[in-house]
Amino acid sequence: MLNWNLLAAYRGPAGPVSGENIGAALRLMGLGMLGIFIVMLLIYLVVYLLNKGTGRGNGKDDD
Amino acid sequence: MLKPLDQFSFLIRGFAGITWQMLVMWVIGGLLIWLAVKKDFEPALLLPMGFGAILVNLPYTGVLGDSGIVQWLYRTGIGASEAMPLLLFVGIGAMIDFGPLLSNPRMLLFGGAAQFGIFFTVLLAVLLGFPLRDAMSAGVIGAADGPTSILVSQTLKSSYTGAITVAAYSYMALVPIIQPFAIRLVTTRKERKIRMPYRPESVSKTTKILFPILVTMIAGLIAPDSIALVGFLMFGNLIRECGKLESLCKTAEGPLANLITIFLGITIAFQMQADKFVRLDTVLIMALGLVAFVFDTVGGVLFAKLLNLFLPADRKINPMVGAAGISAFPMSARVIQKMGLKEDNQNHLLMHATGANVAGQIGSVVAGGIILTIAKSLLH
Repeated sequence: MLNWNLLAAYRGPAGPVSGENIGAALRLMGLGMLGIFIVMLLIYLVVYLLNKGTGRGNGKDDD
Repeated sequence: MLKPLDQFSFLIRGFAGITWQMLVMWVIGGLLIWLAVKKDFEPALLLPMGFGAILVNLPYTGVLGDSGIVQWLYRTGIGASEAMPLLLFVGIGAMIDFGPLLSNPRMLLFGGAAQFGIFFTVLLAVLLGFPLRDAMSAGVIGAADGPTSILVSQTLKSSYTGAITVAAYSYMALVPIIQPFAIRLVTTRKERKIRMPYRPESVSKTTKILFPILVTMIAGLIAPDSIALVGFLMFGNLIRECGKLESLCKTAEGPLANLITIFLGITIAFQMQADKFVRLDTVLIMALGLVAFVFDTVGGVLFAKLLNLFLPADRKINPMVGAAGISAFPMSARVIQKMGLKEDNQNHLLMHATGANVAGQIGSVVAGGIILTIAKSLLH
């Protein structure tokens, strides 16, 4: 377990650095990127299924 | 009895009220107008913002205060419900053709990877000492999407909404300068020359109609806070693709988007009052925005390089296409096309880059929504 308080010993130009915030930012990075990829993969899957299911390429109801 | 000169004191009251911070804001306002008019950088937004910056920074200005029009516009159009950025999204949705993405859906992955700069910047901002809510708001500049940046920073009640908006729109205009620099940092000439033949596959009308509905449902179920952003964007797109509402589509992408744009810039200027804007923190926020754009680009490029490790030689992806996964549409796709042609005058990457670019539009609003969702638990 990292001790964020060691990192928080210094003061940044915008104010004191909070160890808790560093942990929260890292958690946000992990969860955020994971969340985006899950959404994108689901949309990918949906588009793939739609293209398969609606006769992609056969020109039936194409624009 | 008033002295003769005192009777005219009202004429110089305004001059006496000028502060050096106001002068700085006049210069910034002038610079934004100059960038809009002379350099053609996002003129529709930078010009109203520049004029607004001057307007709200005149001493004793009548546009602020309880009966001031700019303050009212801000309170009603942004503060109360974020109506302005959301309504603009209806127009943007009506403008976007998701065809290149639906034809080549693997480009969706770049719309995710190129959001990395957002989260990297949040971490950097925290390390600089910004409170978490301001760090998150600064990171969203990397969404390369003005309305999303406004909505997230406003919802998180950041004190830097003005700087964040100026940064978001200015850097979007600077994509042709920022992206080539960042791409060259992490690619070799050989990689930039990778050819990607474009084999367009037709997309059915049913797919085009169902796409905005299903994307709204997926994003809404996973990141409920993204529903306003995604929903309004996709609503605009549904109007476009349904094929029955041509007149509404034209109104959404034309008059509606134009009307909102005219007032959005001048309304955002409410956040550009000298006492709130002329601070060291503002400069740091602007610098963080630049970092976000650079790392978005790097994230997209590196992800493409990662995918190439697993792809056969004839299906390799030109890593520059990954950089188009940021949301600055359509500038980013054009930049990639130009860079591709510069390296090899037969290498046309435009359609691939356009697919990644519209994926970035979805990715950025989803990222904004995910940040708002996670922020609820982090900012208790």
